[in-house]
Amino acid sequence: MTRFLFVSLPLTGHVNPMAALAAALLRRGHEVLWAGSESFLRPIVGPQARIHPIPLRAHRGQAERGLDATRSRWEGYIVPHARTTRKGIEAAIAEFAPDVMVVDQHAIAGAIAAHAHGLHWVSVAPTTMELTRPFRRGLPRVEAWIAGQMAAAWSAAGRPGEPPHDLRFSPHGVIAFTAGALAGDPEHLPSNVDLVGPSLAGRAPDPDFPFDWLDPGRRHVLVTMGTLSMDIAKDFYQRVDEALAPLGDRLQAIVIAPDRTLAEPAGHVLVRRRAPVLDLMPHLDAVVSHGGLNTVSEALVHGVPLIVAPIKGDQALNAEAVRRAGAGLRVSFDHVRPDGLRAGLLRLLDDPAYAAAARAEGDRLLAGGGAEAAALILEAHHND
Amino acid sequence: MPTPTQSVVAELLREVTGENAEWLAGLGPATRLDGDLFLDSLEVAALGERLAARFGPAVDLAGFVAGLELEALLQLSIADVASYVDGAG
Repeated sequence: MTRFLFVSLPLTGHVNPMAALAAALLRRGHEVLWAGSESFLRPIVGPQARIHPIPLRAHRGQAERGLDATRSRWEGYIVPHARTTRKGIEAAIAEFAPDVMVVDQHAIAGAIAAHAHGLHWVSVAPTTMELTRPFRRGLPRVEAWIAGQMAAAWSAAGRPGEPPHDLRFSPHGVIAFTAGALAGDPEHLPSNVDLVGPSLAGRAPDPDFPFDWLDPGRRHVLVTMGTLSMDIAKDFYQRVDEALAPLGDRLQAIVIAPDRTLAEPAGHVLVRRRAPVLDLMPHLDAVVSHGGLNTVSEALVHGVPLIVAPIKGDQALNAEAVRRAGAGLRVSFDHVRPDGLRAGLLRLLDDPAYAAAARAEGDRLLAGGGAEAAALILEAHHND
Repeated sequence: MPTPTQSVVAELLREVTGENAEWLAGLGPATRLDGDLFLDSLEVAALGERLAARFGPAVDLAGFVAGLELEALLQLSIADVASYVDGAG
């Protein structure tokens, strides 16, 4: 039996795969304590999970686009979060005496605390943003700026000198919830990374979703762009609407978006605030997405090709991986016109090579073993 | 009035984004590639190729941006790219 302390950020896409890993560890007879906001974590990790509560602090809003999003991710989110959570993490260590810490790449307070206590720790990468450090090659001064942000957090925690290494990458090991093309160029990966593929936890069914609306005589497309502010999203959804308008004879589309995003959706377009994406996947022939890692992974493991219109962060990397794998197309979120979107969609629907490539890439993701494989790796860490 | 090089940079931006004349008319010397146009890395690479084809291989946009600090990248405008091109070409 091993004691694992989990340190994440209050971001659903980050906590979901870690929650599946924690569940796998519990099934194998280990102990898991989460250090984080109880109000955020509880609905995801379940009523039985142990949580060392750290109050959730409000951070100023993050910029949504471009390098400004990179800057605000670090200055406005990761570094302040490290500052406000470090003492809580230290208290969790004192209470729980963990054997191994499991730390989100962006929860750098967990890395700093592990160093301070001489604990064995493993980084987990729930997104592909930090995995290959893309700025190192194209924009090295941005990478240096990120290193400066981490050094400032290190000093603010009262640690002497510089961080001994990149706080996003534990020297003891890195577990990434991705694999295959999505993990990027193997040459750019850290040498101690394990690529376990997606860690897809089952989700509660959505009894309200009208599955009987789906006409088996037509193809089906899901449009899901993550949580966007309306001013950014509205224009894109309008172009999607125009792209779909003349295709009612051959397809139906489910668009996940706030109410009234589309003024007058056509009869073959269903707009829903939320939808049971995993349950829908077996019915789908194509997905239009912003390229969040979870959505892309879920589509690929179901053999569903994608049109990816990346907005920020790792989405452009994921879009490029999908394109290179032949599992879909990358389009410009800002610049693609309705006719370009429509042509791309019809290519995915008419050429079975895209679905075949999606299936093959999905098989590579599943071969990683997911949460169960990650649990075995963590066990081996403790036995090291 | 935009300089001739600024106009070429704007036109090449229109090409790499697949946009139209109306979009092009909205660009000016102060338009920022990241902050206003949200140009992604692929579009920057495509712009670099077109600049080199137009002005010669000494124009190395990727090398230029690799030397810029975050703040300068956030503010990088059509005028900045044009003045780099004028200096390098």
